[in-house]
Amino acid sequence: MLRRLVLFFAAAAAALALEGRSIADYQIQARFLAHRHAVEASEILTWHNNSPDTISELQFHLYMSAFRDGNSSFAREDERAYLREGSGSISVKRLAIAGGADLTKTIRFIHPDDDNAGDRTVVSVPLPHAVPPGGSIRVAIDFVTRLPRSAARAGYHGDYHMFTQWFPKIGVWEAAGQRHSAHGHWNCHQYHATTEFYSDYGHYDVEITAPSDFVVGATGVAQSQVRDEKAHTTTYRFLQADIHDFAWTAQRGFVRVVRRFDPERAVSSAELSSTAKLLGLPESDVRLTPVDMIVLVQPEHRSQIDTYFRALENGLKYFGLWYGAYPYPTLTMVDPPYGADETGGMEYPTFITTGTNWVVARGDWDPAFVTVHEFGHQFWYGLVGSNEFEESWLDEGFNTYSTGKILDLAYAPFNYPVRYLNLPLGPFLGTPLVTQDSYTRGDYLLAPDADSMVRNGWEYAGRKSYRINSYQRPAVVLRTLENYLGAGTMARILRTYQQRWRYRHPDSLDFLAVVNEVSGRDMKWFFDQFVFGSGILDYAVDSVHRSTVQIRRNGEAIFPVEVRVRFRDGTQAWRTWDGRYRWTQFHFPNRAIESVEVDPAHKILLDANFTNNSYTRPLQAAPLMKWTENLLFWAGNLLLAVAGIA
Amino acid sequence: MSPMLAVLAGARLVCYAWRVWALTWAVTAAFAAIVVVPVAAVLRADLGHSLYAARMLGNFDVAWLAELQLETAGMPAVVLEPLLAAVCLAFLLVMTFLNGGALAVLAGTTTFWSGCGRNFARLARLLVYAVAGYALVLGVHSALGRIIGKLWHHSMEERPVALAGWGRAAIVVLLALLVNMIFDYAKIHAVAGDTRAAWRNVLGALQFVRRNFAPAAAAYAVISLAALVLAGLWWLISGVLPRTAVGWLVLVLMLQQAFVAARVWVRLWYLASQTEFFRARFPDPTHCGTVGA
Repeated sequence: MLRRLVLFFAAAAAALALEGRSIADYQIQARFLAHRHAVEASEILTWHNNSPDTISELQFHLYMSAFRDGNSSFAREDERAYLREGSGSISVKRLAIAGGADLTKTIRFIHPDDDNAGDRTVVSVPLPHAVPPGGSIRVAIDFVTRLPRSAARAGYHGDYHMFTQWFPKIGVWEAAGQRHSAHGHWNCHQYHATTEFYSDYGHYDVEITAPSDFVVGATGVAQSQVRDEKAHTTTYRFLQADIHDFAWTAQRGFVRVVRRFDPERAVSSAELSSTAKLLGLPESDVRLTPVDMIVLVQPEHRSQIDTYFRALENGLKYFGLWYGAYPYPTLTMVDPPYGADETGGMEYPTFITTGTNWVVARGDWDPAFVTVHEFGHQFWYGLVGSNEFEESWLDEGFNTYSTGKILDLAYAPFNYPVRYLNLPLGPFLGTPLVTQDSYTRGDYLLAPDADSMVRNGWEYAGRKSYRINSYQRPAVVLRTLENYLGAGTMARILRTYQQRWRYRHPDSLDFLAVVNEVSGRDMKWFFDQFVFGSGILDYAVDSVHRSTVQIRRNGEAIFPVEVRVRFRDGTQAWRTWDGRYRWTQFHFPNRAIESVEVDPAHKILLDANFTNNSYTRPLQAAPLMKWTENLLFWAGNLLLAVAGIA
Repeated sequence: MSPMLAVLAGARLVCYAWRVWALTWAVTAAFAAIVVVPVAAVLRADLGHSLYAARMLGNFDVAWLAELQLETAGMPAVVLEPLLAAVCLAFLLVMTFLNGGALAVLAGTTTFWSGCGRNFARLARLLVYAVAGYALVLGVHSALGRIIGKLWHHSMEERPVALAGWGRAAIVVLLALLVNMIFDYAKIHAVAGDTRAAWRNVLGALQFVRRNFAPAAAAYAVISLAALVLAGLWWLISGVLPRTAVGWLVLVLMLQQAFVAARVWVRLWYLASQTEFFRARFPDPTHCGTVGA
């Protein structure tokens, strides 16, 4: 009986884990028309209704139409003029129920986010027969996609082509309760200048016919390659299950290199056992699997191939150890050519684009940073499919946090980047070394209270606020959470969250639930203030008078703090404060105070002012002298340069 | 006189005129201090009694700049930029004034202060012409940029664009040096030839440089090379000096100011060598004002 019960629960758990894994299956046959920078394609979409709702309408993304003209919401939101040139589009030639009614004439453009009638990036298709709960529908779509010039993640430059968001892709039906929705609805947003993507998992079977002299790379595993000698074309077939998007690229000059990620070589037994111990798991659960790494680089970046592979290996290793093995057999990395930077630094399932420069220096963070970061999205976006439109911090923020940890672990701190005349001058000029905590905190402080982190991507107070609240501020929030709960607890939280929500769509509250469950504490106060709120956190040493210390909370946010007091006799005392009231005092009768410091370990990275965290009686002569003499030196040199014309 | 002899004679001349050199360095340091003192006051107020300062002694935390900007709502930058512009402008005028004296001493026409007063107006007028000359160079810079952009608009390689960019930078630097050299001779022409009309001085300098281009450029290049060696030496030394204790910091301060003083010396060396060369090739400077007529 017990065994049956165990089996039942195991099956139920497996079914739950598989929920949402194969909702939208695509079969696409595409012919690449290189001279027109376009594809003609046929798509069969099999959509499974796994919700309890009856669905009478389908909604599709046609994102390449954001580049159709200057009227799209994307072009209106982004001030760059080239976006208004037009030329990118998806034209649906025919849309029909497979083997049934032609629905082409019923297609209508909708604008759920901003009522912009000029936007043609989302369509609604009413169905003649509703799809019942548990039912499926097969839709056949013929379409032509034209690429714009390299613009916002997609496009062409010379003979380089990056096909992303290139096929009609169905939106996500969110049933009541999913991502805490109040009722069932289509989640199918328009393409905005600051937003990325959200779609359901499924199986992709894509055939691409391209001129034979092009090197083609794509999402998934290449199953076959059939050459048509007469037509001088080659048809590639790519298959991949459990993914939610498909991207591909083609260029004649790509240098294609394949290496295998061998976990036996990349991960030492000590690393394996320490990770297992940290996560409280058996070693067998943290073992990694081999992956074929396919790198497509520009000929002029040939010398950086090893750097790229090293970054990919670091990504596969650390993300795999911390969050669970990368489950796909391949990973394709594309290095875009000069002039196509807009297509770089992006992520798609099993397929990423990076970016580098012709000249890079030792100590430069390119291209390691971007490669590790984009690879990280395989976990935070690819495997855990958060809604990038509505909660971009769940992928960009988690990934910035994780990328920072890997860079600090596997690379030396880099010099603050300065590029001039295509040359990396940071190491030459000896600019300050930057750790990831310092880098992300510095950016976060540029607008720490402009918005809450959880907000629709197109509704932030500008691009800068979107960037800070999606990338740097979440990284600072997560680092603060890690410092508060402890590294082991944080590691277990993220592992649990990743494993539980793989192939599904969590939201911020789902993450909070995992935090509370794993830490065994109610962290709602933290989330309310720093995830859903936007208050400034700032604790300061207000005054030191004889033997009395006064600490003040300058910001609105509340956080418990530690205070260290050092005395002239060399001893020290620690105090804690819940930080709630505006100020507090600590008394040390008959003790001569040397220095006082709030949060001396700088665990609370969210603190907007580290300078006022401490007070020390003696003047800090050495640092002041160092910076003053440096300023005097540079000011003198600047003046002499100016005087050269006198 | 060969360019090398002019360079050597120039060096000797600057050594004799060490008071001019010391004064110019002192003025430079004083103007630098005008910019630095308010910044140092901000540093002292913000970090003077903070342990964060000690943490940043080894490696400056760039996040502090964002912290300061947030704390002061961007005030330091708002104040510093106009202050810097005003100090640069004032320094330019003061250096124009001092150059008149320096050139008078180097050319042996009058005493230093008398030269300052006598030559200020004519050198100031030349400054306006020089600014126009540098603006022309900037125009070339911008035009070359547009040409490169057009030629490599469709390039899929960064290398040719980078190489063209370096080529552009080299051309622009050479042009700026040429303008600098021409206006040095214009100043010498004005002081040694006692000519007030700026256009005559510019024309005279142009004619002089055209007739003596190779040796004039050679003398200029030798001193420029020495300046580069000096900068390289500084780069090497500054990279290895520890800066974590007051004793070392005093030494660094002295070395930094020695470098600034050396740059002042090099600047005077240019003028002295060019004056020597000009006088050797133009033995009767009192008539040089008519050269361009």
